[in-house]
Amino acid sequence: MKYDIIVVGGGHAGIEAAYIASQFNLQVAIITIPGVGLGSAPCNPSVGGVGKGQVVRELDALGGLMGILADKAGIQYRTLNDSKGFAVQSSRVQIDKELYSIKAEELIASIPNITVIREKVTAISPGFEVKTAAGSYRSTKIIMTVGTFLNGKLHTGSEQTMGGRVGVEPSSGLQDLLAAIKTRPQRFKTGTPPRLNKDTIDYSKLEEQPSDSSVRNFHCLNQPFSREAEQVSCYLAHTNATTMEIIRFNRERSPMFNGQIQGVGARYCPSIEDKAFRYPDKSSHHVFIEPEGLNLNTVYPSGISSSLPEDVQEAYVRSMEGLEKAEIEVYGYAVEYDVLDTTELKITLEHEQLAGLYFAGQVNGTSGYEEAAGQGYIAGVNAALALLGLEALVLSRHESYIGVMIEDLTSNTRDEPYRLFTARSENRLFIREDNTVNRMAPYRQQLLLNTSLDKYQREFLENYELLVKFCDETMIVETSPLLREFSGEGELQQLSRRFSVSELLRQGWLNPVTTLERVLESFQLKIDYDLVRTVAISKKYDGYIKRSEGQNERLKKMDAMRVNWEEIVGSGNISFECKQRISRIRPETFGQLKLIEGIRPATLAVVAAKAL
Amino acid sequence: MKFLYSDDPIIACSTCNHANAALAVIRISGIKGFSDLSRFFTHSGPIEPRRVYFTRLVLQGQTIDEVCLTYFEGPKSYNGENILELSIHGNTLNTERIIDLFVKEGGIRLAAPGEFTYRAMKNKKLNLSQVEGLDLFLNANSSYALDQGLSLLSGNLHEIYLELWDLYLIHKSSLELSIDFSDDVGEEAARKYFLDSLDNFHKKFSSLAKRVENQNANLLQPEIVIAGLPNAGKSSFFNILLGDERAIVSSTAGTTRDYLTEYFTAEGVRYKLVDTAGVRDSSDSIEAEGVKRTKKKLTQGFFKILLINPFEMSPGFSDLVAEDFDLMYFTHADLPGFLEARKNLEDKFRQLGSIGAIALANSDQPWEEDLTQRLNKKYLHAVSHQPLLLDRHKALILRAQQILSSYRLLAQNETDVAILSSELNTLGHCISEVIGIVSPEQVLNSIFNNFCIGK
Repeated sequence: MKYDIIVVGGGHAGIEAAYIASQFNLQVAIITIPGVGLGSAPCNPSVGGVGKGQVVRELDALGGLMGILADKAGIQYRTLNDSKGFAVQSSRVQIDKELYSIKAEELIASIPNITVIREKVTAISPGFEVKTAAGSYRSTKIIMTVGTFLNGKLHTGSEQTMGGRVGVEPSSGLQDLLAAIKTRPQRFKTGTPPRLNKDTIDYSKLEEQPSDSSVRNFHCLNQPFSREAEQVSCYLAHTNATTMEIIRFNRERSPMFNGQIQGVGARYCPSIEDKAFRYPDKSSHHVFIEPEGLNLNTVYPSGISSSLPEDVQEAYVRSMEGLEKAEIEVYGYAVEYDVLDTTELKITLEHEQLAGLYFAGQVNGTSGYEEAAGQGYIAGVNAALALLGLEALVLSRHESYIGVMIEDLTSNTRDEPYRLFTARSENRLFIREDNTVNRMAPYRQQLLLNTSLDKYQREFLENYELLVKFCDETMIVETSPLLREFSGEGELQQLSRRFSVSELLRQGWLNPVTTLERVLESFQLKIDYDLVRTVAISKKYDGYIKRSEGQNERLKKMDAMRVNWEEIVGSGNISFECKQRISRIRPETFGQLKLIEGIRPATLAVVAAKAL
Repeated sequence: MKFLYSDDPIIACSTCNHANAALAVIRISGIKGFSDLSRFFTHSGPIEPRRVYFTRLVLQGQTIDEVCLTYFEGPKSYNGENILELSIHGNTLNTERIIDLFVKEGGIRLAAPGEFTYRAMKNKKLNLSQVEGLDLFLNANSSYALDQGLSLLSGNLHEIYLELWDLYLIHKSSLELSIDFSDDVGEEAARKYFLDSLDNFHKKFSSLAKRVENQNANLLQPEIVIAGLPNAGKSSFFNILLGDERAIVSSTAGTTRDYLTEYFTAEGVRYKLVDTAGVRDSSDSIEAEGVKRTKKKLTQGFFKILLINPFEMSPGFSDLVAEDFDLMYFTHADLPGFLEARKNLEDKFRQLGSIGAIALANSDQPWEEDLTQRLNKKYLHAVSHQPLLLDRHKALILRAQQILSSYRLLAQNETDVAILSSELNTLGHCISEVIGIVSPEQVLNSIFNNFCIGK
């Protein structure tokens, strides 16, 4: 059988790649391991989060899949950083992971030009020919989204099994066919916590976090606040001194600390062992009890991932208040796996040496469903565009978190799994959830796919311009009854006697969204909530963004300067560690050099002077 | 800065003497090897790097000069390039003739200001602060400035900046922590990290900021300004201090129309002594301009001396004494009725500070010692808190201080952390500029423009 594009793997990267590619009327096949549903969620049962919520919305505006599925399976909504300003607010939904996968299966099945092949890949030969036990499939474009399945090894205490996750065999065959591909010398590791029986927890002792009905759905064509699934709560538990003592006492039985696991885990996602040994003074850590599904009898205790033996897991779980009688349904484990050297990938995620072969997702050393989906989209859309002879889609890092991630991945390698943080963006005030359509519509239009999504975006942007014009040109005078409405909120005397609505929105003590809503109400204008929110928040940040753009311009100029890494490494006054890192990354510009982790400012100063 | 990308061989006189002297040093940098120029010397046989050879400099068989020659082979040289250094006889005409010879016959071009040092930086022999330190060292007017130049040259100040940068990064990361990881650490802990790290940064920064505060006067080039009404005897005083008839002296008020300056050294510090035009309302536009310049000089001056002729007072006087003077002298003590006239005034102006009397006719009085002592005391006090001397550093630190104070205010009230973080970035840019990471192009331009040729 021959397909235009073959996607190996049916996880979050794989289905996203197939979904966007199918929109170009290409014949797409997903080859995935039998026994696992599409879009399964083996780790946290949630989608979104700080920085990640932006990615889901970006995907949605680009015609991606994740937002649609998350809305269908969302059972608890929350805005993170709610009190910290609009720019860093992010949506996160707990998903019913069973429902999520069912909806993914349904949706993919409804697309006639996607074929799902549930077989284990045994080899890929140049050309390309993908072989499975049952057959052979041909394509000129292959997208590899094999997750943790490259040489995966599972650890629970001293027990070791080969595999990418519990109950699933590893893809050892893939190791041979990818012999030509360079992987990072350092394996990565990730872990999951034990899953608890949800009926064995005393919720009365835990802090409840109900679903927030004011969080906007991810899919932009959905009603903002409608909910498709029943809503439930999350609960907050805490570790205590006893919990940590149990873990410390069993240090020698932890594969991570007795040397059994060599892989590097993420510092931002520490196992409970990490927390116990790295922060010996702290014994109270947050543990979020997250429902895994409406019909599943398990909950996911986020924050206590572990590879300790089963008896230890049981003991430390039961040491926590509210979990005294908790039964473990599935024990926690750690996975070690190989990851690709992503500096060998182009900005389209195509391999530099092996044209037509794309890589996306956890195999690229990232963590998180959203990061995987973002890469899946980029690989899928670019494989399709390349087949059609169209210009590649490259998202700028100054306009999107996906762009930040792709550039970070392809320009640099890192010593731990990569996750998106808002801190990775230089343009955080602009890359927000509320203005996703404004940021992504130009890219979406480039694809020339004229769907209802494109129509929605065109109308949105037209109306955006109109409302901005209204805000800039509508003047509020001292005698306006409207002014009295805001006078209760103090400091209005700071405004001049005549000011525009835009100026009003910039006032720090006013919530721009509710303020604009009230202004529009007084003019008896009924305008779409999304539009009001986007305009109001954009107005608030305008000035700050312009200022930081000025700074960024200077930095960009500097970053574009060419550097000669060999000369830098040969120089006398740079530390040995810096030299090692520089030789590994081989930066070509000052910007790339600056991105290398652990580079000292002293080194940068020397190079900056030299680069002139 | 056209020369930035060229690496042609360059030449300049490094001793920069505009007067005849026993020796002058000429440097040629960027030659491929000594053989490029061996034809100009009578020495035969190999030249070993870093050894001195006495030889004759010749052109077409004719001896031009007898010189000492040292060849430094790169990278073991001042700027990493091959350098030929010639000690020649220091007649300025001779120097010019030899440079001319190498330019015309040797195909070597004249160096642009700072070009030798630029190449040192390019070849990573020096970093930005070190270059600035060198500049300071070479142009120092006091042993304090010499010390600070040397400290920069050896990288000490740079270390302090780097420490500050580290504290900045810690604070910056505490802010990022509260955005990206507040679920993990909890709001309360995040807030504590934020405040503690800001406090640490602020403490470190304040100790640095103290070194630039209250520097109205330029300590790199401290000025002693002599001011007073017309005919107060300022020019006579100026001449006495210099021990020279430098300024024109007459009994006609308004003789000095513009200020005059001369170097004046006291206790190892080289000051600029400034004789100013007397302050009065004048219809003469040239004199009026002179008065304007006097007032400007007074605001910049490091040490200000007011001279009063008790026999000639005018309404302009009250305007003048509004300035903050370090010393006040009564002049014309040799005239009859001086003591009486002085007493009348003394009562009036006692509140103005030190009051002493001098007789201009007799310059061997101990008042000179007193003056030197007061001057030195003020200088030592000014340098006791280790003020930073370089304008670029001062300006950046003052800017950072402003940003920091408004940022600290914002940190109390602003709940939008993305805005806070964006404001904090401006502080970061400022600090990284001091270190020399951002926009070194402008920095270099200003540095190299201040260099004398040949260094």
